[in-house]
Amino acid sequence: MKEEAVNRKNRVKDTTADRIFYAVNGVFWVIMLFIVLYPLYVVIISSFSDPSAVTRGDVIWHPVDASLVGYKAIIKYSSLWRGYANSIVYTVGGTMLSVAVTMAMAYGLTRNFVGKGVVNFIVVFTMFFSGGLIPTFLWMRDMGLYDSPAIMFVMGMVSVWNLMVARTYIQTSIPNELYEAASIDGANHFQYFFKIVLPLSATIVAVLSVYYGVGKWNDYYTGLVYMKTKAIMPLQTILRQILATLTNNASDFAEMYDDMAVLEERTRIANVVKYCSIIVSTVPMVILYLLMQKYFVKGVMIGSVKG
Amino acid sequence: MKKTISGLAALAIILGSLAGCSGSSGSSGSTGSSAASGSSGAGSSSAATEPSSNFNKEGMPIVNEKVELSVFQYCRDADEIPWDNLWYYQNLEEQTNVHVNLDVVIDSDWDTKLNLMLASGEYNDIVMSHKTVNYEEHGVNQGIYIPLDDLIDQYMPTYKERVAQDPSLVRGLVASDGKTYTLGGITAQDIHCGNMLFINKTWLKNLNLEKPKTLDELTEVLRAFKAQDANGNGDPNDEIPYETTFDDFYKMSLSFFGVPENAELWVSIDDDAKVRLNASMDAYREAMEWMHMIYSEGLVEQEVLTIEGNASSDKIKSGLAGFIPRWRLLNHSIDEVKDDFELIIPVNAEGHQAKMPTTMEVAAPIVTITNQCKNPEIAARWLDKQLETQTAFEMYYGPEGTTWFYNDNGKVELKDGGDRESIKYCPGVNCQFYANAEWYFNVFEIPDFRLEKAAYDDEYEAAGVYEKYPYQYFTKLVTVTTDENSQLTLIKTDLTSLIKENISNAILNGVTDSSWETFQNNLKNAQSEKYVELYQNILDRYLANS
Amino acid sequence: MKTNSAARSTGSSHRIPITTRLKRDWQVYVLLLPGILYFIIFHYIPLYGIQIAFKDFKVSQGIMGSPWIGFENFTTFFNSYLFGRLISNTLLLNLFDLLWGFPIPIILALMLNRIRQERFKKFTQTVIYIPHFISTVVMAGMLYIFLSPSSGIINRLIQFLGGDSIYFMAEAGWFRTVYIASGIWQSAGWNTILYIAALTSVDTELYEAATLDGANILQKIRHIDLPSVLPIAVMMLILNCGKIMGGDTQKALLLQTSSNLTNSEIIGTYVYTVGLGQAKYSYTAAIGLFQNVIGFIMIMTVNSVSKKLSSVGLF
Repeated sequence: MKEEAVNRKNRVKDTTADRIFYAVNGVFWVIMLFIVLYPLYVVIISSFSDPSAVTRGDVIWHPVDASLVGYKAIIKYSSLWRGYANSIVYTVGGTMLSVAVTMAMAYGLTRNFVGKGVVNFIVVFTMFFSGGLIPTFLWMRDMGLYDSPAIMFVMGMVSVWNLMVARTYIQTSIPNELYEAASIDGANHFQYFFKIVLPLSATIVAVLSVYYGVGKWNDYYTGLVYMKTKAIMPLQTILRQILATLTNNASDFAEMYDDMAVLEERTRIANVVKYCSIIVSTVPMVILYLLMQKYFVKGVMIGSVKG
Repeated sequence: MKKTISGLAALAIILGSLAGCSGSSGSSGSTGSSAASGSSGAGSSSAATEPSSNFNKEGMPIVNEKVELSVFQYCRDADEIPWDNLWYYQNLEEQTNVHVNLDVVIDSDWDTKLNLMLASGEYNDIVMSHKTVNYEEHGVNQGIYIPLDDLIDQYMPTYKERVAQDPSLVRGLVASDGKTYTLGGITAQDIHCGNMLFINKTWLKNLNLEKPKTLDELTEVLRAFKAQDANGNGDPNDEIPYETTFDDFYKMSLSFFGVPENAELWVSIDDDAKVRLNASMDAYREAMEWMHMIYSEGLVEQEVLTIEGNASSDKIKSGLAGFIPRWRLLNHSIDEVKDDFELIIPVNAEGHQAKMPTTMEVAAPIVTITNQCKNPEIAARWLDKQLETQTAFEMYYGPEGTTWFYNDNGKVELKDGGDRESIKYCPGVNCQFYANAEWYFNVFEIPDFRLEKAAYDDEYEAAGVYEKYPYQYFTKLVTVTTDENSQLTLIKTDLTSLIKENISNAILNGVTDSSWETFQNNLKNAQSEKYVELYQNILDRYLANS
Repeated sequence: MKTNSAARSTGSSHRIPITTRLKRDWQVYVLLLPGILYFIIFHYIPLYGIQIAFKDFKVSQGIMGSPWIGFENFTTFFNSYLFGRLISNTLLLNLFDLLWGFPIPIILALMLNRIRQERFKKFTQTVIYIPHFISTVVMAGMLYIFLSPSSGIINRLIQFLGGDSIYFMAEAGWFRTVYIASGIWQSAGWNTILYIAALTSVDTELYEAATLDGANILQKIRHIDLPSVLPIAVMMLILNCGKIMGGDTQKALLLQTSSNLTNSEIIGTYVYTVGLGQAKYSYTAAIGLFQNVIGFIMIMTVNSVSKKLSSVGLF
């Protein structure tokens, strides 16, 4: 709010350079919005169009030969809805866990402690070197995580990338003077972390929530490899199987297909089904972002340094 | 620097200690029960234990007290089968008293999941797979799959009898140690090639043209299709004379010049049993030049390099195509226009006899039994039961009376639309179906779409377009050792890139002496000669032993 | 304790004995513990599997039991016919991707920050991040349709402006442009999130002060906004340098056609093709390890250089 008032005050004193800038900025963003929105728009209208029109490239400004065939094909799978429910649980729970552990670790890494280099190295090393699928799979299975919902919470709990981002953010936006002031007042690390750092890090917590949230929501691979029971699978794994069923390449094993017509019909609607699946799986994420967005817009540091 | 050194030191300590302890934890799969004993050389002998008294050597049920078998079951991506409650398995269980636990894996996930299953050290009893079964490596070398010869002999009379009707069909299933590790599956259709060629006879009639018999005649016909209003809608410009996708385009074009390019192995076998690299033949160049010519004249689909199958089908369905490759006309999603087309024999380019890549109908490896199956004799009898006529058709199409019935000739006949209903009751093509021609044509009333293709096949055969030694010798008959396979795979990857790239460039830009020479040199640098040599050895070995 | 606080937060702690520091900082270790445990359990314990690149992996013998073959997988790869092309394609693709893809989100964030109409700003911010959710498969499908030489909208536009239709997907020269441009469309908006977050923590009083000093908008951006995103930007640059031998395999596979192989064949697509159903685990693991080693060296190097130049580094 304050920024707006400031801006309005500024507007009165706009220099010519400023005016040109704002004009160019405005035009730029209008064009940018079009470039971004148009393909998204095409995805939406394609999902409501006739599949042949889509592959012919006729769907440009509006749905052609409107049909719900793609949606109908997907929605009739009851496993889809269970997948939705599962994914919500996994995403919300998993994100909270990930954000908590990551923030704690990120804060720790901003401090100078014995063995800091070791910890840094350990962490960055894992970004590049891993044992691969088979040992990880065997180990998860030995730990009893195979075909268990718990795997969705713990797999990928901390991403080194996000950890580095959070650490850098804390380092640059929360100045050390604050830390010194707090420790003079007798605060220990826990108190400093929970009472000062976290509240001031609302933005980075929001960013992490979005990063982890989206990552977990989109993850189809963990469910594919580590789960057998459909009832606990997340949305993306189920969607992938549905898409495999509906978009199968019918030309393989051609001699095995007597019901070629059925399969080619499926391949025909395959293109549309892909777009429908995007709509179906993306909407919750957009909602998540809208909820988190206010933390990106408000400035949260006003006056804290002086105080 | 200090930090890095201390970091490395810490790492070394951690890794060292972990490597030590994880090796003995047994989680690495090296101690998967009896798997460790089968580390190299021959696997364990066929029957792990003596059959128990529970087991009946003949008759039903197979076991007196219920026994469970676990099956690692393949399923095509497109099949929506309710595996958990399938009528077929319930019906089978009532008769055999064997309960099966199915681990169903769809085609897209097959490679990942199979390898994880094998790596985990816990194998299912039976693996039922329509993808390549690597019995050389996993059977002969590592003993994961057990040899089945004795089991077939003692406990599988149906299979034995069916195979005896034509033993040549299962020759390809014999491994390098002389034993058989898999049971075969086959659906005889009496066909020897994939896609065939069809020409729009309505257009020919509209323009008063004769069906072309040579390549030059075909080219003229295509030109006429393009220039004139062949489909009679008043617009002379909307026709696509030759509508096809990229793979079919070059394969068919090459076949006109006598080069049976299968696009899988890149080699073929000539009539003297000599293996050759197709891309080194002079006829290859001629074909590429022809492809370039008709592409630049607009006689072929202009997006042939990237167009997808269903987009191509759409164009055909809209009445825009004059000359197309297709599996068959009936039941192949171009019903709107199928009456406009008729079969055409691949034309001969001047000085050449057209040759198409030829397939072979022999048994493919489908079922294996792993060394963790406690009672392989039960598994063998269970599998054999499903090959009996009644059960086989229940497995393939569903309950008698619902999707199929015995007609007046005593043959099994499909009800109308029966093949689409069957998916609710049975696993269909995903299991082992051993339908060799002699048995199959005697018990089954062949549907008309199969007959159509078989009739076409006879025409093609009479015209002499099939290879004397089909390339599928290499994919279905011969034995390839693991070492050979390893080398072949790597070279093949390189050759595939090289050849496909050259063909596309030729289509777009034509062929010159220097571009041809560069192509040949690149092939040699990619070890094409070694590739041919390896295949020649494999073929010679096979022919010598048969 | 209190008197030591000043020394605590700076780097000059080598005068304080280790035991004191350990006792003092124990809470830091507690905060670090869950994360460290995660890495050890989920990443270090399975790490023994990295040996697979040096072994002839036999599934029944497991990783530990399979025989050693040393560097054989690597030499096979280095000597393979396509090696040179794979390396150059991968490097060039990722370098150009970095060159174009790295600055754009920063510029977008800086400009987005300057939109004055609140609603428009919020709307734009939400919209530009949605392309990230379009899966690669759908993205590729759309590209084929948009870039079709006969019916694609891009070519229709070109023809309308008097030019000749371009067969984008079939010409090797266009591969990189299509790959990179579509990548930017897909992720630039998403990547602004971080920079926008950094910009929101800028103290607005700084802007006021600048205005009073007579600074125009460009100067404000240069002297206030830019420095606030710099630490994050440097960190992102360093992290992205680690991807130099990688690349989005799935996307490259989808955009690859027989005719653009000269440029579209990257290490990832090669690994995929070789590995198809052949279970060449060791070979593909070796190639993966090679990619990762290069990436690791790259990051360490760039990190050192960055620290020397600006004393800002990843670690």
